[in-house]
Amino acid sequence: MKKIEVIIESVYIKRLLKVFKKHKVDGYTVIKDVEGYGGHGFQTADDVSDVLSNILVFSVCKKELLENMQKDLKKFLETYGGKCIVSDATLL
Amino acid sequence: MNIDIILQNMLNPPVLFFFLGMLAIFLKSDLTIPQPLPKLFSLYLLIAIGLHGGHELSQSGLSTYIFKALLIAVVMSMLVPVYSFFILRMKIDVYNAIAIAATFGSISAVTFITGITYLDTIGVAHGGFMVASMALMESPAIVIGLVFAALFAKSPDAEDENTSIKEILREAFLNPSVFLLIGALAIGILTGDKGWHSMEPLFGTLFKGMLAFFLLDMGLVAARKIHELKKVGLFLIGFALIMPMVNASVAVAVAYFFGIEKGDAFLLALLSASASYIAVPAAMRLSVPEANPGIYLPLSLAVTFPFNISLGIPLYYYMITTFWG
Repeated sequence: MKKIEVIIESVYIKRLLKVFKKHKVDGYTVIKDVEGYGGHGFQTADDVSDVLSNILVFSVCKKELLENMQKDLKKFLETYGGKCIVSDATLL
Repeated sequence: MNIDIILQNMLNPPVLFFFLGMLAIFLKSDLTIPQPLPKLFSLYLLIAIGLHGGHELSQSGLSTYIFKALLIAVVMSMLVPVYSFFILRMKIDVYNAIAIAATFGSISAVTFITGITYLDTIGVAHGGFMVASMALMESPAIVIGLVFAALFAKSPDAEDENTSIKEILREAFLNPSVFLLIGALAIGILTGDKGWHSMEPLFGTLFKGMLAFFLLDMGLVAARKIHELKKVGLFLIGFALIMPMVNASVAVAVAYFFGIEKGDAFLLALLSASASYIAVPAAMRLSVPEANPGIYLPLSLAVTFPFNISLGIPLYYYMITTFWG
């Protein structure tokens, strides 16, 4: 099993979930207003709008599913920015 | 313009709380407002202003004068992004020009609310229907931004285009602030005098205090964005300072020509001068992802917004008194 973690700007969440849906990822968790440091400096979550706030989406799926989805995920990140981390996972 | 008119606006507690928020960041204080609260304050302000406007509208009823003022509001919100775009194109790329033009074509509800508080402080009457003009002025700039994107910028992702236009139009007309404002306005009209009096303890009496809280947060956010202005360049900073005055002057001239009353003309000028930092930047992130939010957001939030609520309000009021007497 693989764990996919995607950190993107909140405004793009629907577009990312569209990629998930296309590849039949049937479960995911969304954590809103995540803070952290990156190329754009420290991104805080206490903004008046969601324009620059970040969001973390994670899911666990089979290796084959991730391989199918990889191209679309890369294209998404090239267009809208963000980070995607993939790691091995064990589900209990 | 004398110093009294500036002081009258600056020595308003909510405006001073805005500068206190900025000061907290400059002095590296750890002052923060817990995350969900600023969003609650903005919902509160939209409900309060919508309900109040609806209540006043239920008392005054609709008239040709109101339609005339609303029409000016819509025309200004379509005109400003168009000429802003062509001015910006002389110096910057098409994507950022679209996003900045749309940002400056739309309005800031908090600037409007601060303007109303100023009018109330100095005892100048204004129509409750102006809330409707504020709601009407929020969306056209997003649509014009979309049209410009289709005309002048090539989408990198053509297959996504249809769905994104639907998504952005929904963002333009049903974004949370427009939706809540129009909803509250409708509730205010439907429930009239009785409804307003039952809600007044929360949405009337506490209004100025909540505005102070919200502006404190805005001060914190605006000050955090100030360092980003280093990357923006002098042309755009100048644009963010001069365009509000140009837009307000155009609005004042149009309002004067069409016989709009003093208080309403001031609010039309202020709305035309203000720039969006919530609805439009969100829509521009979706429709023009190539534009840099690190440019258009600090311009509206860290330059135009502080300028309008500190010097813009007395300046536009001075322009109004020069014409209207």
